[in-house]
Amino acid sequence: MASPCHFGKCMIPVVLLLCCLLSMSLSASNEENVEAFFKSGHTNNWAVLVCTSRFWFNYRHVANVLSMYHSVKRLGIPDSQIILMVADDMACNPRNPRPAAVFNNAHQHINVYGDDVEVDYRGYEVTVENFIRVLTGRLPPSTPRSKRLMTDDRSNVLVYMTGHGGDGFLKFQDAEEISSIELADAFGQMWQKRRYHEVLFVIDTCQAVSMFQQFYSPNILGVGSSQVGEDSLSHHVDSSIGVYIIDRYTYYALEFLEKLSTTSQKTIADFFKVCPYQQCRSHTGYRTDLFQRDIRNVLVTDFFGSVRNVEISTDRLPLSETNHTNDSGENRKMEGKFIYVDQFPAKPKTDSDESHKGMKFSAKFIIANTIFLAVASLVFWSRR
Amino acid sequence: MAASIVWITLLGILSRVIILGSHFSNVLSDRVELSTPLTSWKRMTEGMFLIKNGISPYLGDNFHEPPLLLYFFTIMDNTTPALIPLVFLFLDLTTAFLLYRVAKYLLRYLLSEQIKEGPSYAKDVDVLLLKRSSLSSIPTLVLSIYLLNPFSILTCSAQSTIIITNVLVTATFLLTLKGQWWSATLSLALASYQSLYPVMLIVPCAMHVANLKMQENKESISYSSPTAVTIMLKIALSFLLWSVILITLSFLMLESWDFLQSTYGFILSVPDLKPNLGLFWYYFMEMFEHFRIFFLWVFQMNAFIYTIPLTIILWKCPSFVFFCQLVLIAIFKSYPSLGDITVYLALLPVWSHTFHYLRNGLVVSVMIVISTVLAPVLWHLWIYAGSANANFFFAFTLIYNTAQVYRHCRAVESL
Amino acid sequence: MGLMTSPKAQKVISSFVLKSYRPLGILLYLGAFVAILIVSSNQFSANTYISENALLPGLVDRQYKSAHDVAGYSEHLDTLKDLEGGIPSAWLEEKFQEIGLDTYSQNFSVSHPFQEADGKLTGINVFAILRAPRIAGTEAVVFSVPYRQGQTEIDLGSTSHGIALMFSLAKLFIQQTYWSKDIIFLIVDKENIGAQAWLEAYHEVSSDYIHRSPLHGRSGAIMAAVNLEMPDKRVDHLDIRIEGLNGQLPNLDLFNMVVKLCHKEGVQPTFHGEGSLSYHQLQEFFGIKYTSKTMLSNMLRQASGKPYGIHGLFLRYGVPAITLHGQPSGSTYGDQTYSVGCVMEGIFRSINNLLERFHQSFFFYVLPETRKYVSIGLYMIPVGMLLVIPTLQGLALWFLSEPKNSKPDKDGTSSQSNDKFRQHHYAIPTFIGVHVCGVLLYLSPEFFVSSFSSYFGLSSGEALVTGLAAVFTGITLLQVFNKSDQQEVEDNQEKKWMLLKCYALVWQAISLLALSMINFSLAFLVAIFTIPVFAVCRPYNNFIFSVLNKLMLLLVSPPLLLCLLIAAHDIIFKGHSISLNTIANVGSVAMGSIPSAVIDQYLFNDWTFAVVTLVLFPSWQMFWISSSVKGLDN
Repeated sequence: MASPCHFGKCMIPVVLLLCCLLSMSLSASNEENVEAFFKSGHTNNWAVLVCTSRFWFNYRHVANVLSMYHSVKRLGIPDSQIILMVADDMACNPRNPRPAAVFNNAHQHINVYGDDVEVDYRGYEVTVENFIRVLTGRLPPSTPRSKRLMTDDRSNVLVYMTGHGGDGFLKFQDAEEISSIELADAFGQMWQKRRYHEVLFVIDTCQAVSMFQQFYSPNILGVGSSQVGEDSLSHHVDSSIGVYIIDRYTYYALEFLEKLSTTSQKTIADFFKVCPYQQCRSHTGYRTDLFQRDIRNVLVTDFFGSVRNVEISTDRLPLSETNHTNDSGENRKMEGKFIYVDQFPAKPKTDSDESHKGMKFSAKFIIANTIFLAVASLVFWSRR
Repeated sequence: MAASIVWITLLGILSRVIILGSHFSNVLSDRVELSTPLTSWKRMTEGMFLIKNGISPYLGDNFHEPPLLLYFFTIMDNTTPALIPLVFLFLDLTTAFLLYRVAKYLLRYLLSEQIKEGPSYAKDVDVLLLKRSSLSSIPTLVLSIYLLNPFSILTCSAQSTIIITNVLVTATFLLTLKGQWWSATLSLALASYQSLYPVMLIVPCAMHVANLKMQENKESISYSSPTAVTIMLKIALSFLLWSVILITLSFLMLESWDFLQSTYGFILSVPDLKPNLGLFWYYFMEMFEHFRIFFLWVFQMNAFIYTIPLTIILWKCPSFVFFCQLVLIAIFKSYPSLGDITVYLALLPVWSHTFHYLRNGLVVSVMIVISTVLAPVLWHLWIYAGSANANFFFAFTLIYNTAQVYRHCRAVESL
Repeated sequence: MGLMTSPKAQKVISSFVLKSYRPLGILLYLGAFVAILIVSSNQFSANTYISENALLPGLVDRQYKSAHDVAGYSEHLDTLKDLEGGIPSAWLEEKFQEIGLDTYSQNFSVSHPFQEADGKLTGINVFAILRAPRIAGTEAVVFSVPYRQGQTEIDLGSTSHGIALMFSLAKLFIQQTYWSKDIIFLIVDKENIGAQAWLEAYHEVSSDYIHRSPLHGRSGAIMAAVNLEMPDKRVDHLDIRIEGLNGQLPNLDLFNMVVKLCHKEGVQPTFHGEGSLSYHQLQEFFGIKYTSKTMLSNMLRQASGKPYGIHGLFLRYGVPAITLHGQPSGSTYGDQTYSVGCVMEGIFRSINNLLERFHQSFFFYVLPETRKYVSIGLYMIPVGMLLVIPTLQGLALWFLSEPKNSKPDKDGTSSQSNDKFRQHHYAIPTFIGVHVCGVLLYLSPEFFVSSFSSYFGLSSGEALVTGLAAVFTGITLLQVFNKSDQQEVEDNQEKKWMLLKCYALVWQAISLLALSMINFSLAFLVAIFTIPVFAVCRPYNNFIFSVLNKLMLLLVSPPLLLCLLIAAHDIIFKGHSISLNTIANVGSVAMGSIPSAVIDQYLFNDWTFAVVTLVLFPSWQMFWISSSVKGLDN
């Protein structure tokens, strides 16, 4: 049975779609209204926020991704549509002098690891494989809905990544890395499977731009914190915690996002101006050639916010009465007695214990062995 | 000559007994240069313990010796455990004296060949010819090199079971030279039964016996003649027969086939990457897991493939092919140790007459000495002090193997 | 490959080697001198940097607020010292317990064959464990302070202030929640012996000579150890000591971290008494004047193989460790206790950040200055240059000792085949023989003490030195009086020493290479003294040359080499002039250092004695024998 949250999540697009269909069938003149209604072409927003590095000294990456999570959530994308991947649990790290909290600012205004954070993939679940599976939707059937990216061809997806990277790769955990080509192929596959409408890819690592240079599928905007050959730097230290607490690019991007509201008319062009060299100490880079629209007309909230345009239909909609009762599970009877499977080879019986002490070979073996030894010695000595 | 043999033997025994008797023996048996997972005495004791307690030693990942050897040592351990070090000593001495006989037979054979082909040699090759005088001096040299070689002394003192392979391989060589192919194939089957790689020796063994047969029949040497083909087939079949008998016996003993996976599977698929003197561990440690199967094939093919070119090039002197195979096994086997090179090192003087132009003896021996001195030092720095790393140790195992390959190439070239 | 195989190329190589090994040898020797100076200079040594990202030294606010309680502890401890005979373990334990730590103590005693009959050394280590509050205690950091009393206190400097500071810091540390590793506060009695006893107990290693009670409290694997020796509240500078047992060094990151924190807290860090150099000092002749001296001091200390502070024993167990030795200032005002406390707090917070063992930075280095390092890649160049000399000469002698290609007789007589081989049958037994001598020398000390001291009434140290000297002279003289009876062909005789020397040279090069991997400084210093002598030594028929040759060889024989090194140390660092007094002093120091090396070998597994007897002595002896071959005609 779907939970209320899921119910809502499914129903919104359904209702919208039905409204859309209805209005279309009613009068063709309404088409313009409809287009205006969905002027960016998308009907839902999703976000995939990934922090790929672990260890205490990478505190800032966790802070980055959690702050981004908060901004996105504030602008309206619900938890159910955010896939949050955090590779390490900084809040509970024993080195953390502020247990159970993660801050993104030296003055410790906001605990970005407060009560309402839903981490979908955490710790060692954050792997290249899982990340690509989430993007492409090739997850095992048992995967809970909260861990799935259930986008369609009307979804705008924000992908934010942070970690340690190099030219053409981003390190995951300490053992593996995703290459820019793998990432490009993942997006290519998403496009083929009609899993997105538009994508904004934001990445804050060293040589960040290299990560989206290989992209080839349409409708992707890429923005990175540094050019190839440049390092992305951290912003500042919280000396009471003793670590670098946030990265420069994310810090200024957050500053920009903080001033936005859901109705803000700021465009992506404005967003791309965030963090100039004197602030970032690295040249941010972006890529627009795959994107169809002019970025000066694309609202930031197309990606960071959520579609909230809901119109109430006065018509009654026939929703089919589905039978949700499924008793088979409850009616299943326990049959027979359950016993534990033997974990170890059964112990030899006590009475035969003595016989097992000291080796025992079968008579067959002993006889055969003797014959062999005899033959062998015969062969060895016969010619002497 | 006899006196010097006695002295050398006594010295060899003395040095082995001193080390075997001291606590140093335990330290040695832990050294990776001497004991590999296949030949380690510690693992043998583990296997004996397991089988005494009614647990198959092949179910775990600790024991990789063949069952009959285990059987032998278990019997020994049950009856006269004190004699076990003496068994090793005895086997090592046997190897030495077999080598002595091998050298004798071989030289006699080579000399007779030389006399036969004498007229066909060029004028200025005198320096390359075997002298009659070396017939007596070289076997003694062979004996003393084996007995006094620090590598063989240490291997024997570490109670590495490679000693058993060595004695069997040497016996095969001797029996092949004598033309006793039933017993030769038996000891070869036993050797391969223990460490698999000696299988390759069947080729030179068959060739040599065929050679002898054809000489007996005064035929010209051709491996496609009916005599040669029949005798080679016979040898192959007898080898097969012996091997089947051994495997069947092992099966009868354990009543399961587990041991195949645990011994030959272990040798071929190289699951144990504990560092040793070989080339496998480092590569397999470093490479991505999905290349493993491919490189396993490449590496193992490498160990076996040289049999073909060697036999083609050196078809005239199968005894030298035999020697070359020994070197190749020592270099390319999956778990090599210092004990592998002792046999062929000892046999090196037999071909010394052809090494006249072999000038890099110093370079090669210095390379081997450097690597054997520095490998333990770097092992210490890597494992105990924690300051060096695997690359340091591997660098010197690489030098060790390069030196061997280099010397071997020169030896083949000079023949 | 091709170069080495074709006979023509070989001829070229051999003629090149034969022609050039002498001038090239001289050039390389001078080159090695220049190279070691150059690598120590400002121009070539690199600046140190923190390689381990996790350390983050000095990023965090200091929480150590004041050191007001230190003086009280320190004074109390000093009064207790006057009252009691040994370590006031009860009081120390009580203080730790007051702070709230798990407190334990450990008794130990030492008995070894070289002990004087009267003194059985006993002691008590006191230690306390702060358990990390939010993590399983699988890792630990050690904060150790040696306890000193009486003569050792006068010789090595007091440490009561350090113990007091340890209490003060422990009070701070226990209030904090952020520890990811247990902290072990360790007060070590009887210097190295106590440290060894504690380490053996901690790692459950047994020793034949140190008897100790088991530890009742343990923690996890030790990730690092910091040893503090603080004499007084007025500290002029903190001397950072790194050299450990057998010349082992801690990871360079640990050193760099301490230097960085010292600079941050305003305490001057020094290395072998030399502080961080100013820009001008570094520019003057590339700073060689200062850096070379510091580096030489570093190398001499490393070459001795003796731990420079109790941290040196931790290194043996794979624990990176360091000693901070406070040098008291002459002034009567000022109090650096607080700053040193902050340095210690910073060190522990940095180590606390570690995720794995120190492994990022170098383990093989020498330091010319606190902020400069010379890594293995650079310092192996001069060693390599030195080792090329014997290798080249060995190769030349190999070519020279090659038998001439005499025309073979038609019938192939036996003499000829003997001729074909080199004189290995002389060289190999000699080679084995000298090593057997070395082994005997190595095993002899126990024998001498048991026999000599009882017969002649000598103390064990004296007996040891006398015995070793006797064996040494015995073995040495054996060769001088050894007359070769056989009348051999002169050519053969000539070949004989050449081949033996070839063996000796190559073996020397190999053994020094191996030694340089373990203890670079020892290998380098031995090489720089012995190589020129070994290069020129050879048998002479001329009496004067022969004697000169022998004298030179004796000068670089292991015992005299030891004296040479001590003299060099005294003259360079203590400013002694060369006088009779100095020589006597050097002699007595050398006499004292031999028994201590032997005892250290038993107690701490010090390798110096083994290296000298099993490697350096046989190597030297081979040269000695090769230059004693008689019956030459020059």
